Amino acid sequence: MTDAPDMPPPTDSPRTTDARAPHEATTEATTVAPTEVLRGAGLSHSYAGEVKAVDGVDIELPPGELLVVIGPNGAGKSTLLKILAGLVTPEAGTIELGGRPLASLDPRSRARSLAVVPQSLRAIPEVTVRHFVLGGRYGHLDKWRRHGAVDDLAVDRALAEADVSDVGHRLLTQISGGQRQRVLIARSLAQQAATLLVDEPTNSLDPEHQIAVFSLIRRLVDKGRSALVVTHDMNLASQFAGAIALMAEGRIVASGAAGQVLRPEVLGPVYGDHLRYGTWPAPGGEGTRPYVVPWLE
Amino acid sequence: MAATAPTSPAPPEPRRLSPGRLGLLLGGILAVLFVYAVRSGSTGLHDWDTTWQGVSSLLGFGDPLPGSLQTIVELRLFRALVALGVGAALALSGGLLQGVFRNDLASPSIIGVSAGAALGASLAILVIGGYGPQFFLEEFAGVAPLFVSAAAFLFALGTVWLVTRLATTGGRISVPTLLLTGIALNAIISGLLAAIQSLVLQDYEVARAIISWTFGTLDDRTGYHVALIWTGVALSASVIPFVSVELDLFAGGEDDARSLGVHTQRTKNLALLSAALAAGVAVAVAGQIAFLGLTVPHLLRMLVGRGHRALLPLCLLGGPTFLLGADLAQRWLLGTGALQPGVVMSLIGGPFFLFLLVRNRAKIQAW
Repeated sequence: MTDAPDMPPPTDSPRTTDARAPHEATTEATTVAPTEVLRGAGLSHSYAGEVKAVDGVDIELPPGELLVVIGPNGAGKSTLLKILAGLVTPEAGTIELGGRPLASLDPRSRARSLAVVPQSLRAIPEVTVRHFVLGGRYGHLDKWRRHGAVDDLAVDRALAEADVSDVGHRLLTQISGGQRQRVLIARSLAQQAATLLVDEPTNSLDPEHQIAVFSLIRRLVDKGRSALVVTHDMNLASQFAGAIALMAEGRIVASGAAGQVLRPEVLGPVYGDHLRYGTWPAPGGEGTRPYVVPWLE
Repeated sequence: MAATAPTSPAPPEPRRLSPGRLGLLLGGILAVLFVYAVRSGSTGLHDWDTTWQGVSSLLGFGDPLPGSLQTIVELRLFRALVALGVGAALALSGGLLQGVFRNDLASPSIIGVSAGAALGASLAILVIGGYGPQFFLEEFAGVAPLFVSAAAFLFALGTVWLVTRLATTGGRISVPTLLLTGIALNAIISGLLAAIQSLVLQDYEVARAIISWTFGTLDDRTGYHVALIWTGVALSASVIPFVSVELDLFAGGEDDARSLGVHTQRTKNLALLSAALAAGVAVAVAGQIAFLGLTVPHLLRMLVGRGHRALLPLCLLGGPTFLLGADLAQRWLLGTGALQPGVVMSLIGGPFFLFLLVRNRAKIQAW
């Protein structure tokens, strides 16, 4: 795993040429956009006029925060993520990134500030891992959409950071689910966006890969990015999140540190009675963190 | 690590053949086929000087050939140039449609775009043939070929719009719905074309003009047809730099492309407009030639991979090679004019479509 360097001064415009000194290319390939507050206010959305998937949500993702959104199926978590990513236009509410309305950003500059890691792709492209990750550079390409040394550097670095350099030459269709999830994260790293929106990254992964994926996200946040992660896994949220937001029926019904949210009186009304609660030493050994397991008695 | 000037993107997948080499190969084959197409026929042009004199005269240099030889040279030249343009247009149209719809089975003939263009062309011929309001006859009789082409393009565009609209639910295009919509539209338009043909059956000139669209023909083409098809191809090809990388990013779905910064609606609009224009002018100058837009991009993809930056320009070479090659092969095997190219393409492309269906059965069952 490669460590990220200290963050150089941010760049806020795409590269117009690659004919530059080597140190400039390296700097550009490793520069992450400045971390900005992502803020949604009064967000509401319903599909085809049915029950509201998201209902009056206020949410804020400050710089350097790992915010995990949990909630039962149909709570509106993924819809909220899509709204914050600008992929779904909400019926009501506003989204701001760094104080600017998200809708006012053109798609390419938005992609340089905000990266989405989807739960899965509608179809898995039959391309090499490296070429797939190169797709994350789209927002940085010149007007003729040419890739250059800066992009190759950024891709190398993203592959290394997500620990998938060894599968760069293989087809995306031929790697394991755990590797594919890390490749999706690698592509978002190639975007050099400071804010990551991650949708259920550990679905159908074994425990070892679940921990590897969350560890990677935690590490990225510790190095200066901010991330909003949607997941069903309350125990991973407990271990890795800075804050947890609990959604139910389109609303955020509780938020705070793991110890404040993962409690019977908070989760019970949302998930029902089949949960058992306990505590376990926190990763790193400082204090304890709650855990929650489904258990039928 | 040194920075260099912009480079070609890494190949999206291990290639079997480099696009540059394939382009050179296709260009070479095309040049040979083109010369052969101009020189071969029932009336042989036995020496180079005669052929060259005919071409020079057409370009405004030197005297025309004696007797009917000049006409023969011109007809063959126009036929070959139209075949090149139609092949390029249909292959490019297919490549663009397959990219937008993220499906290798999409093509102008399968989703009904070619049929829509033929309906437009037939209605225009009907109007010019005296079956429409007198106003149209007065206004458009002088620019009849342009009117027919414009109608073909507009109907092709309308069909693309309709088929896309009907196949889209919740902002996503459903591939099975797209293909089924294509089947339905093809059936409806076939019925309408049959009705139009029945209506004018007694009117020999109009009936002949309309029926020729159905078969797809390269006979009796003129300089006008050459100019029209190549203008259409040039306009359609001009969007390639602005949609190629974007269509590559469509592979994971539209939402995924949008999250990467692609202006998906603009990309779709550009690609579909271009595909409709290419298919529309191809039908306007040569009638319906089915399956070429399906077959050529697919074969090229097997050779050079899925990246549109290589695939789309190669369609401009692969389509003409395929159409001209198939046309020359059938003329050589069966004699001049034995079958129209539209018929030949159906005989080749239909089985190829079935081959694709069988080969992709597992994938199709998951749709």
